[in-house]
Order: sequence, then structure tokens, then C-alpha cells
Amino acid sequence: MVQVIEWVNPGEDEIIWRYPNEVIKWGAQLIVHEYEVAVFMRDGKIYDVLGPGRHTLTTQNLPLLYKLVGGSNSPFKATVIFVSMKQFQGRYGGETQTRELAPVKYYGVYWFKVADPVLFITEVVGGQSLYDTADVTKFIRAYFNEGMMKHLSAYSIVDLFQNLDMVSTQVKVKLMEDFRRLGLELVDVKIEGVNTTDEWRQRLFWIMQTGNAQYVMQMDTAKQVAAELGKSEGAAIGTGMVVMPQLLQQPAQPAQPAQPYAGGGVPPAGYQQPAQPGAPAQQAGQEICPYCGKQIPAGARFCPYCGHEIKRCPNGHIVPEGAKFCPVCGAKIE
Amino acid sequence: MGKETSIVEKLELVIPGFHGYKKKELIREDDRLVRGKVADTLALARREMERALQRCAMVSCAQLVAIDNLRKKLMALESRVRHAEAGYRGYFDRVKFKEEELKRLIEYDAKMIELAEEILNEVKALNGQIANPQALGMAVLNLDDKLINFEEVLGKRMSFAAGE
Repeated sequence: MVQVIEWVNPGEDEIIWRYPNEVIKWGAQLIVHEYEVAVFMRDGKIYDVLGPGRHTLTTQNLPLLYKLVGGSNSPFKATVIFVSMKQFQGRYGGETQTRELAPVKYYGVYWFKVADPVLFITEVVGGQSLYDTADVTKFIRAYFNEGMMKHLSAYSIVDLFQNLDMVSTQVKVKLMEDFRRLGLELVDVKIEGVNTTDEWRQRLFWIMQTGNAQYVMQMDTAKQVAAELGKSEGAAIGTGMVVMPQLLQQPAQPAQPAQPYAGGGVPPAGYQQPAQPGAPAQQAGQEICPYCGKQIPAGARFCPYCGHEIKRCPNGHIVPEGAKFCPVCGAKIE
Repeated sequence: MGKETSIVEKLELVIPGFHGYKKKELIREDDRLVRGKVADTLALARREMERALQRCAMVSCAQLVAIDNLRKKLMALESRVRHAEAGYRGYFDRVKFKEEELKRLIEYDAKMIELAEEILNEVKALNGQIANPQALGMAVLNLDDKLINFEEVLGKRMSFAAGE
């Protein structure tokens, strides 16, 4: 009876499957589907990678011959390993910091396929009988995190949100060689989400509004010092009188207000810096919601994206919840 | 190595009634071989494109995303050519595929070889222009045109194979 070898019903995430029987008869029929290849090994050596179609295997495994040489246990072992050539999806995620040291969490998806079945089997899979996408993700995780951290840390958080496609492409280009070395091909990488803390989102909003990062950070420090001093009555009177006025002193305006940083370490060729020193970060007629960071129409009372109420001073500047004075113009808030 | 017919295949060719099916089968295999050649040329172009991408990332050129998009287009074309229809028709299908039609498929494949070579040359040209932003922009547009041309010919072949 003819032995038929075929990978029936491969699982969604299964990349390789080893045919469990190593005693394969001479003339066994190997069926390889269009979306897979079969690696044929005999006597421990890889002999061929067989593409789609029906193949007749010459295994030397003739009953007369192996009874002469090995008795009941055939020494003519043959192995067939099926490798799926379709695209697979893996996931990644981690934490890093942006250029202004804002903590960011990222997560996303990548797609890959086997490019060189022999390399993949010999370098990664080894003797395992089954290998799936979770195994690849585990194997490759460090490369991903390193690549993401390197590229995300070169961007400011504002530019990061605006250039997600560029960041994912840069990461992909960097990782292509690492995948190829393992016999895999990285088809695509997408960032599904980037997030930071509420505290940092508000801080960045004020940096963009005032254009003076140093002042915003100084006010942050003053708030923290005031909170700490409030815990000790004695210290609050003495230290507060000495330290607080200095902390609240407005620093000299920088020669050029903080502009959103555009791009990684080296600015792209042909890239031009926006030539508007002192201009607000957002476009004319547009403001940015301090709660979700999206652009909202000028003068809006509620954010159309997150629904938060936008508090304003009498001069129309956006102010944080609970503020008594406008941090931009100093006007008292009723 | 050569395109020989095995003893079983020779037998199949002389059996009356089976002869026609066998001949068509051999033409389909030829079509598969030629398509394989086209897909391999496109794969070569894709690898050249990946080199271009890496160089582009090295010098932070502005066309990085555009080149990556072309790479994806190239990948899609490669897969479409490799797994294209080979002119099989069911017993009761209204459209029948005879030897003549199958030969026309191979003619389309041959035309695609030419276009694939042009694409490969264009990608090589693009690779040489990475340091020159303006010339690179033009090279990207030229390659896009070549890919569109190829897609049109492939589309015609697919329509023909579908009996349209």
C-alpha cells in the first residue's frame, strides 16, 4: 500500500510540522500544498526542499535491505518537515522614554513569513516537532524592544504621534536583517498604540502652549515643593519664605521657544525647520485639548473627541481645572 | 537536468483520449515555470529594494515610507504572479480552455519577463540615487510607473485566464 504523507489541517499559527513517522517507505507519496514547502531529510542530512506538487520519496527503505542491515529497527530514517510559507502575525509591546524623557508605552503588530526554510529549521527550530508564532515572538522579542526603544527615544512625544508611520518603517528596516539571519522575512511592522501618563500629557500641553519648557518644569517643581512643605507646619513658614519666591521667579525667555522636534537623530534630507520663531505650536484657528492632545476648534467649550470641558480665563486662554490664575496671562479666574 | 518526460508520462501521451489532457498539463507546467522565472526576477528586485531601504534609513532620506510602499507593491505582484491561475476549467464550465489558449497564457508570461527585468533595472537605478534627494524622488515615480505597467499586463493575463 502506498504511503501518503501530507500536512492535513495546519493550525492558524503553526509554522512548521514534523511528520511523526521516521520510517518512511520507498516510493512514499509526499503531497505539498501551494502555501507550504517540505524539507526532506534522510540519514540526518537535508537532501531537498520540495515545492508544491506530488513527490515520490526515495528513502532506501526497502524491507529486504533493512532486515539485512538492522534487523527489526530500520537504520534508514527519513524525516519530512513541512514549513508553512504563508504570512504570520506576531505581537510586541513595551515601555520606553521619548526625547523629553516622557514615559511611553507602545504596542503593535508585525507580520512575517519564512524566507529560507532550511535556515529557519537549522538555526531556530532544531529538533522541535512543532513551532508556532508565539515561539517566534518569544525568540525575537529583544530585537523588537531594542529597535523600538532606539527609535522612539529619538522623537519628542508630539512628533511621535505625528510620525508613527515613519517610526514603524525605521524599526522595520532595522529589524529586517535580524529576521533574515534567522531565515525569516519581516513583511511589515505597525504601531497600534502609544500612550503616556496623564501627568505628562498635561505637562506637554503647557510646554506647547507657553513655548517655555523651563518655566513649566519650574512650576512643576514649585508645586511639588509646596506640597511637601505643607506636610510640616514649621518648615512651611521658614523654608517657604526663602525657597518659594526663587522658585516662582520667571526665568529669562529662551532665545527660541521650544518647537516640536521633528525626526530622529539626523534630520531627513530635504527637511526644513519651520521658520516661525515664537509662533504657537498649533495652527491658527486650532487649539489642543489638554486632556486627550487632539486638535480642537479655537474657542471650543468642550473637546469634541474626549468630551472634557475646556476651562478658559477671561482672555480666552485654556487653563487647568481648579486654577485660580491663568498661567499664560496671569488673569484671575472667577 | 532537462525537461524530459518520464516513462509514465510517455505512456499517458500515447493513450487515446488521455493524450489531449496530458499535453495541456505539460503546457500548464511550462506556464508555471515561466511564471516562476518572472516571480524570481521580482523577488530579486525586492531584495534590491530592501537594500535601498536600508541605505535610505542610514542617511534618513525623506522617501523612506514611499520606498517601503513600493516594496509592498512589489511583494504583492510577486505573490500574484507565482500563484496565478493556470487555465483549469471544470467539466461543465461554459468557457473551455484548449491548447491554443494555454499557449496565449505563456505569451503573456513572456511579456511579463521583459517587464520584470525593467523593474529590476529601475530598482537598481533607485538604489544608486539614495544620496541625491531630487533624483531619488524621480526614480521612485519611475518605478511606480513600471509597477503599474506590470500590474496592467498581469491583470490582462488574469482576465484571459478567467475566460473574459
